[in-house]
Amino acid sequence: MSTEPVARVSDLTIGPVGGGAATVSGLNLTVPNRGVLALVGRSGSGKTTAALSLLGHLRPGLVRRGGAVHVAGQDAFTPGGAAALRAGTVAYLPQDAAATLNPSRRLGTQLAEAAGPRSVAELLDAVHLNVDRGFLRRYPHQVSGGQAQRVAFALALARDPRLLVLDEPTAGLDAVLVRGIRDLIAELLGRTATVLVSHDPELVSAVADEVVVLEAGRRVEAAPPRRVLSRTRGARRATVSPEIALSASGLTARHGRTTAVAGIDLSVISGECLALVGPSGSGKSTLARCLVGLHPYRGEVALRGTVVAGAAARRTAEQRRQVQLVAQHSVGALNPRETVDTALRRPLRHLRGLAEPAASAEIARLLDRVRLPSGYARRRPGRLSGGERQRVNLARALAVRPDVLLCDEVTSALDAHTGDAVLDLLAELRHDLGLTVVLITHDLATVARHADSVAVLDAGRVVEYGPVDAVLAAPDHVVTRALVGAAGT
Amino acid sequence: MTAGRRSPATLVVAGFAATAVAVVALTGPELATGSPTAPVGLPFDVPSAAHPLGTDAIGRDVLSRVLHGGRTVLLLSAGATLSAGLLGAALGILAGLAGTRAGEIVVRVVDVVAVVPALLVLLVLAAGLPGSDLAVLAGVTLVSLPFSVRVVRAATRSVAVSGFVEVARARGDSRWQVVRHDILPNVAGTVLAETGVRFSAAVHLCATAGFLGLGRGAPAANWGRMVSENAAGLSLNMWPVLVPALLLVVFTVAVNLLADDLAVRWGEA
Repeated sequence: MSTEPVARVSDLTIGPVGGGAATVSGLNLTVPNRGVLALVGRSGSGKTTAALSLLGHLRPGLVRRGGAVHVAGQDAFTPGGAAALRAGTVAYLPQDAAATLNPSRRLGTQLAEAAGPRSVAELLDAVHLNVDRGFLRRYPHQVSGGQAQRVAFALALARDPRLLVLDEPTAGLDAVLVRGIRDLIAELLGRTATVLVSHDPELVSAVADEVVVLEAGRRVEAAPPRRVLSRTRGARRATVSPEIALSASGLTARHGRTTAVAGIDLSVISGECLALVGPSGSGKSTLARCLVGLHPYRGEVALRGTVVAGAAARRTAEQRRQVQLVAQHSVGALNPRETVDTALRRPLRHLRGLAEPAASAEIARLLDRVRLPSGYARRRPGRLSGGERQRVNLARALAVRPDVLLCDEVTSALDAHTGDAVLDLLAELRHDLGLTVVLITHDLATVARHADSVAVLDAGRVVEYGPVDAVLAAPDHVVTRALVGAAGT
Repeated sequence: MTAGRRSPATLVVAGFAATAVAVVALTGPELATGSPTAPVGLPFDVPSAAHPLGTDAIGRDVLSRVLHGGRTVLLLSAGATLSAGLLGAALGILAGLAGTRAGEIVVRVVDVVAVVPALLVLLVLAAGLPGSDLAVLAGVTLVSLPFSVRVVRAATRSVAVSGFVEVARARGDSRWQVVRHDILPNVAGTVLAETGVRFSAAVHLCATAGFLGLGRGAPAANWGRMVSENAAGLSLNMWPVLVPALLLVVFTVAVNLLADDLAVRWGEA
């Protein structure tokens, strides 16, 4: 076994084509054979750009200004070298690994194609995915996010790469799956040299041989330790009236032939924050989509005691105004072709009938409300960081002055620091505007800090429901205990 | 998508080549001094001062015929590409947004058209409407359409499940609003790249139609037909075959390069 490093990055500088601050500057890295190098740093610190350079890839708009990258003896920035690397030497899994699966082909077909001489079962076994035969006949959107991520891992490992580049493997997963993926990564690490981009301190400390901290594209040495799970509570407002803002009774929804949500009863008191937690595939997102009228359901959804139609299109404008969805994924939540200005103007015009100049004034107010400079109105999402995108996402929901915000995993794609800032903003908005919030999350620290009550979902049912203190202090159900246990490790 | 980036020099050459061929084709009939249909000498005469590209199978001036023969091919293929592109985008987006079942039905219908060989469609239409350029236009549109519909539908479906479309739908934005603001701008890059490919295919098909004698008949000049008319005399005078063939090849390759680049730029803008 050679002791030669698998990859060497020397004095690499990458920056925007038109000039301006470098995204990565003067970076030196060495990835030892079978070693694990972790790249950590905040959103926008150049972690992903540095990781992608190992495949000889530069995101559009970026150019290499100097330095070199060699992986397994190949120069990554020659066309031939990059092609050779991507053909099998380097495997890359992006942040949303599940998105690497072809959405229009069955999982079994994709696995069989990648497996070559090996069996699909062997690939699945390597990522500890125990599934029935029906699983292989499903399409990626028919399995849970965690399962899809494991399949993506299986595909990436099928070619026995020399170097594995993992970009935020645990982002967007619930606590149980995060623990599973951490274990999985820890097992894989003896076999393949790995570059791990992560802001999950537990993952990094558990698996990394070496940690490189990046800040503004530069390598800085010491990593400040950060406690993710803090149980400090925000100031709690006393509710004045016990009015029910949003309730669901006997809500049942299906995905094809499987029942995703089975007879759920829930209610949120006006001004309160209800957290929905549960493992991937427990029906949290489907429930949210039912509440806003995007997914057909049986049962009843009521806004302030009035039962509303099942489909958004058949609800009144006033009813649609009352509940706003803050969509998952900081990238897919905003239209990449639309400026912030247009994104905010559309709801203003559509549900509030605002015309010029009132609309422009309101847009400036909204941006100020979410602490973004007014100049951001002209930007497209591509020029916003993850945290900024999520602020725009919030501002868009606030534009119609809703009563209830349905926040679906709004921090899952953000690093801990940025995610906290977004949640603090949400808490402040709740306080100032008297908003009712339904917070879908897998992060119990968030639940502990922000929610008043919590509903734990498993397999489409509410298995535990009550005040946050009571549920977290004395979890009854096995799923709650697993979530609490995973968060405590 | 960095792989799609061409060097600026390549793009300048492609832009120049495409423009030059288009100018020759579109303004050719005005530039030509001689008649494209009058015999001026012996068949397959070699180039001379009076006839720089020689004469063709029945002694007509090749230069005049080249200058007259591009307009039909280019206008027909541009027209067919445009109509197939617009129809394909409209049908593709509709099918992409419709429920799974309705979308599948559209795709199956489109598949039925797609499995019929392109030339067969052209021949049947030309037989029904002999000597009509309109039949060629309709035929080329019809055979291009299925591919556009499929590609646009796939692109639409991937955009339709994204968060911003969900938010807009939950807010109650009309279907047209969603299409205009959310779907169209995000599938436009795909549509552009696809249209470039279709255009090359359309030029090829229109030239083939000419080669087979479909559309407006002899003695009208047509680059595609010139190749077939003069293939027999290739050893005597190669120019009446080579020049129109080269013009077609240069044009389609250049347009393809430009369309690819445009699509990449759209994605980055």
